[in-house]
Amino acid sequence: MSTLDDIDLFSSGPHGLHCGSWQRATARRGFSGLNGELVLDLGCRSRRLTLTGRLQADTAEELDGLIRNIEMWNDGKFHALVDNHGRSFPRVWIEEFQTTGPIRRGRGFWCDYTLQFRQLP
Amino acid sequence: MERYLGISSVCFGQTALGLPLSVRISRQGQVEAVGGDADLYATSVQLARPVVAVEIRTRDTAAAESLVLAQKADLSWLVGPAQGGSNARQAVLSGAVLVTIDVTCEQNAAAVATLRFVAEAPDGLCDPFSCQEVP
Repeated sequence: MSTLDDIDLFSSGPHGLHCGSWQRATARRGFSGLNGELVLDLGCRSRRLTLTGRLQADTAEELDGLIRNIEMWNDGKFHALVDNHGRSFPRVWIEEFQTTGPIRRGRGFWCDYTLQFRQLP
Repeated sequence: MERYLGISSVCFGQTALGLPLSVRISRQGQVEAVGGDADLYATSVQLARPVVAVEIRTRDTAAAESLVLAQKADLSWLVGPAQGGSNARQAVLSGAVLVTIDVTCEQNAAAVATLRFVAEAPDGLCDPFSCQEVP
């Protein structure tokens, strides 16, 4: 079960986390008449974590509550994310949360979502 | 338990479809099954909006050919009681949209028309299919 600051936000439905690569910033310089280039390593910047999943509830109101709960965490502050495998990702904040379609009605109410985190080293 | 035998009549709007061979109603939902990254099997099985469809096979090819695709009307049929039964069964598919007309002619066999309908629910909530016992 994934948690954000030990809070269970996602367990109403299945979800999975995809970790992007750490991004390193560089400065490149080239010189006329010389093969190759000078690359200055400016350090590790950040990486993007993408959580995709499905929220499910018995009523539309409950589902709306689940969505609002996640939106409340889009506060620009650092949080600690733990994924389904128990991997820990400290110093993450929410960049974007969106449902990837309208709320749908079947056995209860449900919608799929994508949540983008940014992690700093 | 009431049992039924034989199709007495089939009507699509004002058009009677004589000599019916079979009526088949099907409900089909598109499965959207997903699981989390730690799951071996799907842990959430949801269905997209189910489609209620009816297929009618009839030897009345002239009536079938007079219909127009996308035509919308109520489709009804009456199934008679089996031996020992007393009630017939009247079924109605309201808001039936004609989506397929197939007419097959074969050597040494009567021509058969196959009509497929998909129901349009008026308010998105009520089941477009209904049936009742009729004496």
